[in-house]
Formats: sequence, structure tokens, C-alpha cells
Amino acid sequence: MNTSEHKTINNIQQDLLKCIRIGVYAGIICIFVALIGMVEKFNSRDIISEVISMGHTLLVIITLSGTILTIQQFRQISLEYKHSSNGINYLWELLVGIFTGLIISSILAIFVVFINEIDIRPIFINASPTLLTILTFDKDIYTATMNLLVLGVVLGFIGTLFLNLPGKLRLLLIAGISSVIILGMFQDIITIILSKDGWPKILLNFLIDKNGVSVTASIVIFILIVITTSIYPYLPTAYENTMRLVAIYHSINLRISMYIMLAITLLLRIYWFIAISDKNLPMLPLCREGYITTNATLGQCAIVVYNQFNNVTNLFANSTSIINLIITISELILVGSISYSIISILWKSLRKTKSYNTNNLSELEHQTLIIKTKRNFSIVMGSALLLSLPMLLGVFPSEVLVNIGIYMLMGFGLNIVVGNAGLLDLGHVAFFAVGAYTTALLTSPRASLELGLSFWAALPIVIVITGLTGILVATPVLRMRGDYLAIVTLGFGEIARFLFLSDWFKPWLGGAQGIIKIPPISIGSIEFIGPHRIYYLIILFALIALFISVRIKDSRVGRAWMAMKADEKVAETMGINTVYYKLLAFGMGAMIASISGAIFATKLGTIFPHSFNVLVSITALSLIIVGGIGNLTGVIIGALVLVGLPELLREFSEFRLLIYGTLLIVMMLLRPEGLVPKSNTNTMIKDQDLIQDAWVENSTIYSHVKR
Amino acid sequence: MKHFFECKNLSKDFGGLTAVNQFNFHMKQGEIVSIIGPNGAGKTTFFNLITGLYPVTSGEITFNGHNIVGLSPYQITELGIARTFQAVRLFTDMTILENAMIGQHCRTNSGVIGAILQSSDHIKEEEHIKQYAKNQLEFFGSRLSGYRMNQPASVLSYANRRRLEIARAMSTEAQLLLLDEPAAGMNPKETIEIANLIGRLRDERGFSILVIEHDMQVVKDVSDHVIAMDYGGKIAEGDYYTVANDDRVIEAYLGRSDN
Ligand SMILES: Nc1ncnc2c1ncn2[C@@H]1O[C@H](COP(=O)(O)OP(=O)(O)OP(=O)(O)O)[C@@H](O)[C@H]1O
Ligand SMILES: [Mg+2]
Repeated sequence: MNTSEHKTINNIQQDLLKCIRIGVYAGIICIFVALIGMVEKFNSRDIISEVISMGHTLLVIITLSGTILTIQQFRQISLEYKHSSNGINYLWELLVGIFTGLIISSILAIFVVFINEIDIRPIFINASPTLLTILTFDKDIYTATMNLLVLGVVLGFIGTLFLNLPGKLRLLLIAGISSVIILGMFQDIITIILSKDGWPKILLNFLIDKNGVSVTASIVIFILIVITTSIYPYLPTAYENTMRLVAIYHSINLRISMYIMLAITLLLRIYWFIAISDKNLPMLPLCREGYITTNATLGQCAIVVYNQFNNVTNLFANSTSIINLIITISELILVGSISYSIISILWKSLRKTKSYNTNNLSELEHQTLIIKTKRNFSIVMGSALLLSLPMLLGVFPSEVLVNIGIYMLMGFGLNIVVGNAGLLDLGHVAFFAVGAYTTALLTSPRASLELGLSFWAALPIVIVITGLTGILVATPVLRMRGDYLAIVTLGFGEIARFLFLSDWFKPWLGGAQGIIKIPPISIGSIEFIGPHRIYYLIILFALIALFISVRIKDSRVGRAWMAMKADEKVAETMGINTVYYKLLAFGMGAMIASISGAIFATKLGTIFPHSFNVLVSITALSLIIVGGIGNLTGVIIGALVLVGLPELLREFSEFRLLIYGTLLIVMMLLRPEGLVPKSNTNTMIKDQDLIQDAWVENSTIYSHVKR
Repeated sequence: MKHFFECKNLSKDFGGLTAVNQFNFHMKQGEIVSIIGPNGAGKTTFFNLITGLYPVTSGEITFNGHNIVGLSPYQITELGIARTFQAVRLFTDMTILENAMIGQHCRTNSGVIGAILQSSDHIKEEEHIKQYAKNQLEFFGSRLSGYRMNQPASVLSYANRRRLEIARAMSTEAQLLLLDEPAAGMNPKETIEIANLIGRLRDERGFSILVIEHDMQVVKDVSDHVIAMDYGGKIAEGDYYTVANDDRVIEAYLGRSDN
């Protein structure tokens, strides 16, 4: 007929090959994860008990992603050619999907037959009989191969179907399925938490079956999540409206009344404690146990913390059943809101000058009020949650939280250097180590100095010394930028470790044996031993670091750093002493990291040089990159993801670095801005800017040019 | 007699190439001086020498009686010289207001402690910086001020970026502004406006201005004094008509364009 038609078909064939390539890649990835032992390792757990294991889930996810990617590629191609009607396209898509599924599964099938016939264990230690059992579903090889192929076709079909669902439905499905998978992945930690006293046993029995999430629980969770996701768009409005109501009813200085309320609850609670031990004192009605056993307010949280140090490690110590807990919470809310309203009214009458009447409030005032209410609400709720976490979760999860906190603190320090000042520092572990070692030297009675200072006396010295180290390290690298700086600081980090390890410093720093007997931190008689207590210190210092970072970011210093990061030469011509600000950044970053190191040292009680290897720096840097460079929320999320997840997911820890690497590459490709990108990156405005310019030009009458 | 700004026998070698060659120059306070010259004449290099971005090979530069050779760029800015760049170099991630606020950096001194404690001095100073910067932005009318101030500088159109660079330089409270081709890449209307603006900078804000410009209309409109450069040296100087009709200037331009 005509050549162009012919050519199109030819090209389609070429592009189909492109699609096949994705299938082949996916197949190879399947074999790869099997050969490195991931599949076998994951298979010891079921996602849904007795239904599907984690290893199988992994393979299914890879296959599905393969088909979905292929079809997306195919869609792009057919968009380019715009050659056929929709109906034919659907058919084509189905064919392509099934074909890709088949490719992936046949690659896997060939692999199965191969390791069945030839023993490759001498080379690939993970190609074990167990792996074979997993891949063959314990059937004979012929049935297994057929099964795999059929499975591939089915998965390809599902993938295609999934892509052709309407967007909303797809979202619901993803939300539901992924929450079941996440639940399955975290089943260990959930079991640990829920088997603590106080959590109702029914919950654990319902959720977790023998070897994974129970079938009923997965169905219930799936449905619950689907429902929540579908009403999710309305939640912010509901929240907004609630806050608006609160703001209207308490349209006075909210913060102050809230503090007063908290003080009252706190006083009542303290009275309760005294009254319990001293039988002469009358028990005030409001002090009754029931009102004050939960942790809904800051005042209650103080008590939670108090309990923590009296070895009451169970949040529910006083309310033995869930019903009691619910009653308590509702009582508390009742008491809280009544006292809140009373104080509000009192406050209002006291400050007649500023008696807000909501009717006279301008829209702007009203908005600020709502924003204030929201902020106070989240501060109270957030602190309540933060303070009660170790009691809710128990010891092991607290340990994880402490580790997250240590990295988060270091991350805040590193963020000043990398995120604010734009100096790529790969040796931040050096400052962490200096902080830890100085603390050890000053506080341990067994250290060479034999000072045995208390932690609080040592801390200022530690901070100053590490800050000076930061400046010392920064001085030689002042003229370097980017990659060169990264390499040199990487070297510094390693040099620090070798110095600690060296025979030269052995008399002081103990060489490979490190320094032992570092006493725990204490305030008065309270000793911070155990993660559920150290947690509070970490939280305290992390909040301080966060506070400092926030304040500096929006100040003259923060702007100077930002300018320096953007263009060093211009910053200098605009009057910024870049040398000073570089040293300042390194100094401050080092100081914050030193606190992290100090807590790390007291937590372990013993420090060795090998705890301070380059991986610590890399992790700290990765969490900043994953979170979004220069973004404080990003640091928090990055620490949770990169430090928290590997510790919670037992199966993952072995493949930690592999997952880090993959994650970083994927992040750089898909979201170079990080998980939490900066808000003001709207490039659309440029056009608007031009239009506005044109308008200004037309409407302005210029004075005559020459003066 | 002490000049407001003066260069004596200023030279700059780049390896074999002498970009600025035995250059002598002085100007009075309150003057607008234009520098013209064909591409590669050494005009931008001259600016880079003044602002300390390039080390001087030989010669001296004095400003208000201070010898500024060998000082760091930030010290020179502190003394009262600010510049714009031929290829616009804004801090594109920062907002328009923040860009202008950077200029005030060298006139203020609150540090880390003040920022953390939010001391009253710090708050006052921060407010002052903001006010000062806003004031400079308002010089350009609604192009840079108003709702735009809190948008990132990257959203600005090319011409507005040039304006913002000038605002940033103004915020340093400089006495001498160095403008490197402020009208480059602008349409005729915007060019007229820039010429107008340079006049206003001197008349309303009292800046002395040294401007590199290729657009002869702008040069004619704004300058009290014109200097023509070629091969790093001065080839003519005087008012616009003298320089524009100078044989060597005409030859420099025509000769270059012939090659
Ligand atoms: N950093 C440098 N290294 C080497 N040579 C340089 C450097 N900067 C400028 N030059 C050279 O110095 C000469 C003068 O350059 P300059 O940028 O000052 O010219 P100009 O008069 O500003 O020209 P234009 O009108 O194109 O902006 C050019 O030949 C240029 O190649
Ligand atoms: Mg130039």
C-alpha cells in the first residue's frame, strides 16, 4: 500500500522490542534478588499468614512493576503514532501486558530448571534447595514450570487490568494493598508492641496469626484503609471546620489559657501523687485516678515521663482495661474543655480591652486565630505523642527511636553544613566521634584523664572542643567546593578514625579497646539508663537543634549561607565574608553532631573507634538527601526512613546497603528534590510575570528621558 | 588632590593576554560615567579588578582615600562599592525580598546568638533590613514590590532580574554603583526605562555610577562623562559627542566589525 504505513508498523516492532527489554530486565532482577538470598530470607515470613509469603510478594511486586512499566512505555509509543482506535489499543495493551508477564515468568522458569539441573551453589551460595522449593511451590519441576508460566500470564493480565482502572479506584487499591503489605512487613515489631501489658490481648490475636497477618485482619484492614482513603479528601475540611469552631468559642488568647489549664492539671496530678502516699491528705474529686491516668495533655505527659523514671514502664499501669482507658480519656476531655472554657471566660473578662467578638472579627483576624488554634492543637497533641511514645511502645522500639534520634541530631548538624551552607561534607562522623571521645575522656573515671566529670559539666567543654575541631577541619578546605570538598572531608573522617585507633594516642584514647565505663547521664537521682529514658534526652536535644536550625534559617546568618550556597563569588561581592560563614557552618554543624556523639557515648557506656566509620557519614548524608536537601522536615523523615526502617524490618537489615543504594539512585532519578521538596518552586509564575510587565509598560507614562 | 574614585596604571595579565593595560581613570562623587568599547576590550575585567574578584597585576585603585587593592570583595563592598553582573547572577532559590535583603548584610551585624534568642536588637535589625530592602524594591515600582516580593527570584522575567540585581546592589548602601551592561537583552522600551532609571538612581538616591553600556542611546542619555576602551587601554575620554566622534573610537568599532 503506502510506505508510511509500513514504516509505522516497522517502528512499532522496534518499540515493542524496547518493551520486551523491560520484561527481560524485570526477569533478571527477579533472578538477582533470588541469588543474593533476598527471596529466601524474606520467605521465612508470611505477609498474610499461610496465604502469601514475603518472598513471593517480592517477586510478584517485581513482575507487576515490570508489566506496568512496559504498558506505560507502550502507551507512550502508541500516543506517538496515534494509529488506532481505543478498542484496538486495549487489546494491544492486554497482549503486551500478558506477553511481558510471560517473559518475566519464563526467565524465572528457565532459572528454576537451570538450578534444578545444575548445582551452582559453589558459586552462588544462595541457590539452595530451599530457594528451589520456594520458586517451585514445592511441586515437581514440570508442574512448577507450568505454574510459573500461568502465573506470569495472570500477573500480566492483572497488571494491565490495574492500569486500566479509573484513577480513583487504583489509588484505593494501592492504599489498601500496600497497608496490608506494610502491616505484614512490620509484624515483628507490632507483635512486640502489642504483647506489652496494657495493650488488649484481643488486638494482637486478631491481627497477627502464626506467621503473618491473619486473613480476617488483612481483609478488615484492607477495607478500613479503603474507606479512610476514600473519605480522605474530606478530612482536611472537617479538621478545618472543627478548628474554626474551637477558635470561635475560645476566641481569646488561646496559648495563655492553655498553659494555665496545663498547669492546673499538672498541679492536680502532683497533688495526687502526694495524696496517695500521705493518707492524711484528702483526695480531691478531680484528682481521682480516672481523670489523670491518660496522656491527653501536656500535664499528663509530665506524669508519663515521671512514671518512666519510677520504672512504671506501662502507660496503662493504672487503667487495666481498654474500657477504663476510654472512660478516662472522655472524662479528661470533659474536664479539660470545662476548665478551658472557664479560664477562657475569666481571661476574656480580665482583658476587656481586647474582648473579641467573633462577629466583629475581620476575616484576617479570624484566619490568624484559626491558624493559632491549629498550631496549639498540634503542639499539644504532638508533644503528648512524643512524650508517651516509649511507654506506648516498650523497650525495643524505644531503642530504635533513640538510634533514629541520634542520627537525626547528627543530621540537623550536617544539614547546616550541607543544606544551608552548601558545603558537601562526607566526614561528619569525625565530629560525632570527637564529641563521643571528648565526653568519654571527661566523664569516665577510667579514662586517662581520670576526671570523672558529670555529663552536664562536660557537655559545654565537649561542644566547644568539637566546634573548634570543626573550624580546624574547615580551614584547609576553604577554597574547595563540591566534589573536591567531599573527597577531602571523606578523608578527614577516616583520618579521625585512624587517629583514635592509633598507637600514638593509645595512652589517652585506648586504641582499639576504646574507652570504657562512661557513666550514664543523670539529673539529680534520676539516671538515664535504658532506651526508654535516653529517649527523652534525645528528644530534648533534637528539639533544641531543630529550634536553633529553624531560627537561624530565617535570619541574617541563614540568608548569608543561602546566598553562599547559590553563588559564592556573588555572595562575596554582596558583602558576605564567605570565609567566616564557612567556618561558622562547619563549627555549628560540628557542635550539634558532638551532642549526638556525647549521648551516643553515654548510651553505650563504651566507645570503640570502629563505631565511627565512614558509613555513619554516608547514612547521615543519605538521610539529608532522601529527605530533601536543606529541609528540616526532610531530615526528620529521612532519619525515620533510613535509620528506623532497617532496624524494624529484621529481614531487611542484611540488605541495608543494597536498599540504600537503590533508594538513593531511584530518588535521584525520580525526585531529586527529596521526599519533602521545597514549597516555592513554582515556575509557572514566569509567564504571569511577563504579562504583568507588559501591563506595567502600557500603563506607565514615562517622564521624558533626558534629565 | 584626592579623587572620589581613582585608578592609576591599573593592569591585569591573564597569562600572555593583557586584559587591562596601564589604565588611568578617576571620577567625582555624583557623576555618571559610561565605559564603552568593543567586545573583549577589558571592561568587565576592569569591574572585576575594582570589586576584588580578580587580583590586580599592578597599579592602584583608591576609593574615598582608601587603597582597595588586595582587599577581599566583601571588604570593598563594605567600603561602599556595589555592582551588577553582565550575565545576571541572582540567588534564584531565594525570594525577591531576600535577594534584596542580602545587600544589607554588610551594614548589619546580628549573629547566631541573636537569631536563636530572638533578642530585641535582632528583631529590630531584621525589621530594618526588611524595610530597607523593600524600600529599594519599591524604587522599581510594582515590577518588584507588592505580592511579588515573596516569590522566588527564579520566577522573574529577564528584564526584571536585571532590575533586581540593581536593587540588590542598592541595598548595600553603596556610594558607587558599577553597572555592567544594564540594558543588555532588553527591548527598546525597557532600554529607555533603564536610561531613565540610571538618572533617577543618581538624582533621587545620590549614587555615583560607573556603567558599561553598548547601547549608544543610553550612553548619550545618561553620561556626564564617557570613556572608550580598547585592548585594555583608554583610547578616548570626554563628553559623549567628543568620544563618539573620536577617530580611534570609530576605528575600534568599525575595525573590529570588519574582521
Ligand atoms: N578569567 C579570565 N581568564 C583569562 N582571560 C580572561 C578572563 N576574563 C577575561 N579574560 C579575557 O580578557 C579580555 C577582556 O575581557 P572582558 O570580559 O573584560 O571584556 P569586555 O570588555 O567586558 O567585553 P564584552 O563587551 O564582551 O563584555 C578578553 O579577551 C577575555 O577573553
Ligand atoms: Mg563585559
